[in-house]
Amino acid sequence: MKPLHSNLGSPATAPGRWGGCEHTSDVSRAVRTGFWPSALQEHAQTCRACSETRAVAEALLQESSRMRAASPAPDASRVWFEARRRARLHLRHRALFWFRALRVLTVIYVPAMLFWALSHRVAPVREVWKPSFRADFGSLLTGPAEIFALSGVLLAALCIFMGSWYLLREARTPLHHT
Amino acid sequence: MERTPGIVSLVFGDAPTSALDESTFRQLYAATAQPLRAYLLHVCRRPDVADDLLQETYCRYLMHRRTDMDDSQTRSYLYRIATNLLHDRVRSRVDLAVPEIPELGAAPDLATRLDVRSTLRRLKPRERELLWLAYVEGMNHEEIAAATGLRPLSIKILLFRARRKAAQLLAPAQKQTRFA
Repeated sequence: MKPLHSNLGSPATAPGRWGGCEHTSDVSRAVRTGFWPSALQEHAQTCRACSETRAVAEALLQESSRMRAASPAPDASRVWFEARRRARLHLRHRALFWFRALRVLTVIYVPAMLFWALSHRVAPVREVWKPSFRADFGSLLTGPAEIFALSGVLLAALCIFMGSWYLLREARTPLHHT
Repeated sequence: MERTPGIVSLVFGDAPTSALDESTFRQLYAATAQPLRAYLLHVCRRPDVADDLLQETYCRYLMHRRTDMDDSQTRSYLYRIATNLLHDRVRSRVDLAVPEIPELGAAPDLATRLDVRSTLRRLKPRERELLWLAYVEGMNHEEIAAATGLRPLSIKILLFRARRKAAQLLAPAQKQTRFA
């Protein structure tokens, strides 16, 4: 609390630009705590700003105590449960984002790869089949096709990893935390 | 302080928030929920909306809180979220009808209290917010600015006007009480 000045009793105590008084915060605190120094009480009777502050603060505090008595706040566990539910939902939405991205990639890559496969005629089946990736398919892949296919595989792996990461985090966020 | 989830946030997630255990949350809730609810109820005038906004406030706090906040900052942050939610409600204008608060029992000064309440109801939501934060919560101008998003210099002027208006509105009611 600020020290009360000697000229506290004057109605014109420290008038501010907006007709305020530097002791309004003291008056407000006194109303809240119930501790009224006599000098402040006398000042509040004569100073317009402080008397207004007192009247308004008293009315609001009465309203506050009435409201608090009328109905208590909801139970904390209800709010906690709701927050956990939303956190899980939030993580699920993030996981969904990655799985949706995977779906988009599939929509882009599968037709592209089909088109690529159809445009490159597969060679007739040889009599002696060699189980070699390079021998059977590698010859069909040109440089850009390889990069395209590889980027698709990497992006799909990234989407699966990130989606799974958020799903795991969701699983590790139980609704009832202890 | 509310954030619109952009593509960066959607892809990489929010800033990391530490896990808050239930007992810590209960302590925080016990310390802050009742005054926060009274504030919400005072501004929006409807218990169901106040409870809804209270729950939303804590949910958002738990989702977006920072770990480096002290008690005072946490309080300001909660009031900031609550104030933003209140403004959204006021803007949407869905809750303006039937502003009613249930009365608990019969009191000898019921008429006066109803009069004071109806008087306070005539203030604008922003004025009710400022007066409540200043005189019930005891916040200084900087804290009110943090809670409402206004500038501290504006708070001084707006608070003065709100107080003067409230005092003028309350004067007949208080005179009536004195004569009674």
